[in-house]
Amino acid sequence: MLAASFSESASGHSVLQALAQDLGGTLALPALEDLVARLALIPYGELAVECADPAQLEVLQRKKYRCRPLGSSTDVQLSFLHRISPAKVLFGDVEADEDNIAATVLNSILRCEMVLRRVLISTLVVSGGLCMLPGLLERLTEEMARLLDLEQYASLRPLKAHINVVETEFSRNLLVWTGGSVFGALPALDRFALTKEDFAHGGVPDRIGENYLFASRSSVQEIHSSKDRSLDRLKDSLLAS
Amino acid sequence: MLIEKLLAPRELIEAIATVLFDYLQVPIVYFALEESLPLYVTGGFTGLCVDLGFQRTSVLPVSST
Repeated sequence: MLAASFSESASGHSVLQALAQDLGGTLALPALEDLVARLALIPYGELAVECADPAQLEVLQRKKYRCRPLGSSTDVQLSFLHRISPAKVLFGDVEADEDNIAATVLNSILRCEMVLRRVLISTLVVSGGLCMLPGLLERLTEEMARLLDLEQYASLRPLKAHINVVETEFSRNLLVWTGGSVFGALPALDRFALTKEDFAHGGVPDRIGENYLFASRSSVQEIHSSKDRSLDRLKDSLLAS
Repeated sequence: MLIEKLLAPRELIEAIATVLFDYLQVPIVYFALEESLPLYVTGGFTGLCVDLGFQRTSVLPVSST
């Protein structure tokens, strides 16, 4: 685990905040969430190009969407700009120092070792509720490819062809749960879990490093001593030969 | 098994463990890391976990070495 490269970016909450501001702040949070779930979309490909052009955006803007959000007694009128507002929050302008998921991913990769970079960029495991927004994954890979042309990511440019999001059979918003159940079914879990004695002895182990994976201290010591022993045995056999 | 965030405050985890061990008599607890769990679904050892959540978006590279 490479906790040193951990980073955070704009989230679903900031999407709702931005939409609330656009709509004048009259709607409650559940209503906003309902609107985003029903109407939000992230432009990518040709649509993204159209959205960047003010003249074409004007045409798209003419169509209005009327809908009644959850728990509200009146209809709300939304324009196309409201529909694509999550894209503005999640994929902000990097040069203006705004939050951008693609930039966050690239920054994280930049902080990793050279050898790992190619493997990491070709195994992006994207999870979470925001993946349910239509077009988000396509936009993410597109935006990453676009950002690679910037000066600050020059060292990552050869990796452009390797950007790949891993497909799984499960729904993306439930990946943490499915991963948890896969992990919980592993037979080795009991050995690494924190026991009452361990906790009484030294509290919860650190989150970073080996202690995290092998949560109980005694198992870490056991592994280390077994490593030492196998090394000794290796040395012995080498000397003997 | 409990699921925790990488940067969850240490006091919180200690408090949860205290309650589980001392009051609920739980024999063993494992604190799993929320960010790395999606990787288990893919079956690989190395990957970049991007979690786009409601409260936060996190990016965590995981490597087996």
